[in-house]
Amino acid sequence: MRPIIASVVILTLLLGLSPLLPRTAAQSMKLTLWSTLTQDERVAAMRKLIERFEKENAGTSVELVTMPWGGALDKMNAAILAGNAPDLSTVGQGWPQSLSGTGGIVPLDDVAQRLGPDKFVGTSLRVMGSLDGKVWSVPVYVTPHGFFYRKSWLAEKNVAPPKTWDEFYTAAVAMTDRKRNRYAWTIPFDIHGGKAVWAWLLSDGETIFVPKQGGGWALDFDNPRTTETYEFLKRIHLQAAPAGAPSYSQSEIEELFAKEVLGMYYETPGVLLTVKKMNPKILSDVGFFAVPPGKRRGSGQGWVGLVVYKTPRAELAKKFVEFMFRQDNLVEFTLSYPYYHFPAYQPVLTAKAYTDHVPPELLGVARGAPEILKWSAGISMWQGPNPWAGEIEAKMILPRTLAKILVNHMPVPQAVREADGELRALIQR
Amino acid sequence: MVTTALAGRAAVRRGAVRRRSEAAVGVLLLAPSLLIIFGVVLYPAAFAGYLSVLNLHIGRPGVAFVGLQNYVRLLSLPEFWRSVGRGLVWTAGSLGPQVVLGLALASLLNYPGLRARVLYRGLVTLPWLVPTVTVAIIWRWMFHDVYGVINAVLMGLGITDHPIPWLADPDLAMAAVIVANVWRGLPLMVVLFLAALQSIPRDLYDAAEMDGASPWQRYLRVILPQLAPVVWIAAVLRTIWTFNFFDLPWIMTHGGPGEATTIPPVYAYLVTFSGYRLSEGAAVTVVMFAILVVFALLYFRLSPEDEHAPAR
Amino acid sequence: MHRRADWIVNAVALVTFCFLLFPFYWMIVSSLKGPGDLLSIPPSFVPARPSLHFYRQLFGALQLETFFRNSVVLAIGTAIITVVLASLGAYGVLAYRFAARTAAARLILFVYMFPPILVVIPLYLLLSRVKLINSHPGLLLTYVAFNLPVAIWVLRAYFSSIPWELVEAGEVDGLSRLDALRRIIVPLSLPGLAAAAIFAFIGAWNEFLFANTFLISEHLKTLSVIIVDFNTREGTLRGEILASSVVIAIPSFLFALFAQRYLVSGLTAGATKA
Repeated sequence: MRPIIASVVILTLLLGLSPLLPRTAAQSMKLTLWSTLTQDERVAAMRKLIERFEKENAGTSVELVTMPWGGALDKMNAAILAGNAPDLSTVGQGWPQSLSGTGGIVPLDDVAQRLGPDKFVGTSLRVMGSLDGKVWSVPVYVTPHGFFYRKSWLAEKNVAPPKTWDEFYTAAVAMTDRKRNRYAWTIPFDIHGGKAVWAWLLSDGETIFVPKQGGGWALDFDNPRTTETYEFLKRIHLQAAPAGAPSYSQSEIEELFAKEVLGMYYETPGVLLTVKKMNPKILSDVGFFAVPPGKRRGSGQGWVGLVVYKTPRAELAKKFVEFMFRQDNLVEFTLSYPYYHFPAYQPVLTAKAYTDHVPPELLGVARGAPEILKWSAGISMWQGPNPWAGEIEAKMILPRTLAKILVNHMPVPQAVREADGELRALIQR
Repeated sequence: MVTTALAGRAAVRRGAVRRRSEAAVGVLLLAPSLLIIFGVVLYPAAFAGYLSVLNLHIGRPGVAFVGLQNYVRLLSLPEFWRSVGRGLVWTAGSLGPQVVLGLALASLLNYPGLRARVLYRGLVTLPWLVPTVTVAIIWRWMFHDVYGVINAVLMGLGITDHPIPWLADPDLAMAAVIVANVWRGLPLMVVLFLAALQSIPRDLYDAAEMDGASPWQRYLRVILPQLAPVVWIAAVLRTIWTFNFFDLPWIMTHGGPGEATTIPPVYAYLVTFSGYRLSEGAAVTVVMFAILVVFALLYFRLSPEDEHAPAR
Repeated sequence: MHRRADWIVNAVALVTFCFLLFPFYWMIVSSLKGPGDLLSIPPSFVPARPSLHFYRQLFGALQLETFFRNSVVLAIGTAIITVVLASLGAYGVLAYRFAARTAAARLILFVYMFPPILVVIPLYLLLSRVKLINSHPGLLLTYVAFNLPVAIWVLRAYFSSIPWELVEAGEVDGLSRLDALRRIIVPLSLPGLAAAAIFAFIGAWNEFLFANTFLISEHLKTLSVIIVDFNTREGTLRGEILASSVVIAIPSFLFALFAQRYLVSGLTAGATKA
């Protein structure tokens, strides 16, 4: 009997004490990299880079930890708070600005200098990766956002690809045919919905934040532009979206587009991968257009960068970042997932090794990309990077407002006012 | 005689020592369990209370004591009260059908002429045994407006001519998650009620039959009162557990559409991990807990001997 | 007259169970459809061209074995540790007199009422501080803690149904109380121990919230978490998600078929007067 009790007590104690066992000296040369790029191809590409880095820098090792986008920013913030942050990680748009406020990441001005700040495409470094003049993140790739649509559906009704808001509405209504179970478009009502709503807001001249004289930001959300945009989105959804739209996630919408229930899809060329997988025969029928301009050009971009955390291994982590930007490494990495990875770094954009290997379906997108990438910016960052962009996206303020309008039948001005209240609470804390 | 008395006193002393060492062993046996429960459940719960009077915010360094400010703010937020209301709808809506259907199904399984009772009893446990993930995914799939089988059947039978947007309408979405929850919780009720039914002494049944009562009257007047204690306990425990249930609404609808299925546990999670307001999230969970303490007191009032096993 | 009533009742039972178990049928059937048939409108009730495509994807590209293994290890570990600690604890409360033992028993039941959501936030911070976050031992500790109350209750009910004379007879033979536990009580309570072990296993296997919050590295994640993660990946994995929900339900199916006796007796232990 006693041996049993003894062994159980010892076992329990061991469980509790195991993490306190002495660590080997090699720990100081071991980097932890959190990556939100979970697809096999990207993981394989990342591992290849890591192998090369470890070989070149004998004695170092890099542990790759992958996690999906959803909830990743929360995990990073929570890890900084709890004191167990990684050494570096990938980040989405708005995240570097958010994380910089925690004091948990280090500025990367020196890295940017060494890489050549002018070599970064458009807004990718100066806006998307910076805050208050400091560089917090270097971009590894950008993705142009736009509308992917079924050319034949519009051709059937003799409608041309839309170039204005009204033309978009006409096209959406033309595509919709309930009897044939055909609908035009819906935003995803999950964390990706903010990008779609922002594209239209931007197109209508709305920026959410405006810089104040003497520094700082003023909130400017509850205004006619915002109301007009949401009224427009409401009309589109009531006329041309499936009734179940408020429950759809982005992957469900991709599915519906591939299965010919939706005629349009907004965001990344990644949808072409889904179409290829589920219904390749329509691949040649998919066209591309940027968000029709209202008072200004719309459309957005995807953006992924790297940040370095404030750990004892920060200098080594910076070395890894620069290693990744070496020509061959970055070309290889970009080509590992070409539907999402458009180069943000000029030397890659012009490298023959890159241009020779871009898949043919992407040519339409590639043609429209430079324009889109030149001047679009992440959610709320059109006037420049601000500290709240990441949180606005994570809290889904923009798509939830549309959800309230559609699902709870809330009048548009009231929904906009409530969203304004949420944003105000955000920037006041 | 002296020796006997001495021996007697020594025996008493030995007995006393033995009792003390017995007690020590008893405590020692219980100690690891208590330690773990204390360290992993009770201490963090108290810590949550501590967190709730700070202003901890994920992503913002610096923390200060703010007293009851979080509670004041929380209790003045209409969206918090909406979520509590939803929690009540969710709980009552889940419990009612579970109890009624549970009784019905248990009575069915108790019928003497039923074949394959053991097989049925095994099968009935399935919805409760499978992981919540499975339950959420399969019901979400069945309620899908375009590809779901429920709409396919309804349209095929001519009951409706267009797909019903179950998960996109606030009331229908709540109904959908409640249906999934009832389906999931039913086995527990059935098993408990069946065991209770089978433990009712035979002579009670016979006596009622001899009185010339109809089967329905027998059921109402004789059987149900016997079951009342079990039904009550099961219902109270299940209510507590349902009110706290996070996994199903989260995985099935993420609290949506909009906030239609954001019951208090989901609300607490969103406040903490999406809103980054750690201390406010903690305050929400403390308020939830306070509500449940009321239920707990109810339970203790009804069973002073604590002979009843809670089971998830 | 009896015979007709019998027939009606059996028919009703059959129909009821068909409806009750339909979701399982639908899940399995859906997972066996090929990628071309899964999203057909209207969906077919029997797969036209049954295919193991999604299962192959699961164990090929998606490497489900890793996560399956993680879940197995955690669940078995939880079951063993919980049952050992719970039998000790239950016995301690029953067989020994010490002050506050009823209070301890009540406390244990009280713990059952703590919502996991109350505990997950502070526990995240606390586990991080002792470096148990993002690790299996940390999660295991949590699972044991939350499964102990149920296990102690079930075992206490089982142990208390064993006649005390047997222990006393053992004492006459020179056995200590503790030996009595090992030699007498445990062998007589195997059904109860099995039930407690199964509950603990199921509790850990099915758990989602803690695993989702405490595990960050992909290779450590459990089945519950990874299936929900599939939903957030780019592109659609609908068929794979359905297939994986079947896979994760396998232990449950096995328990329902082969261990029904233990489950039922465990659930009812103490719920009706022992």
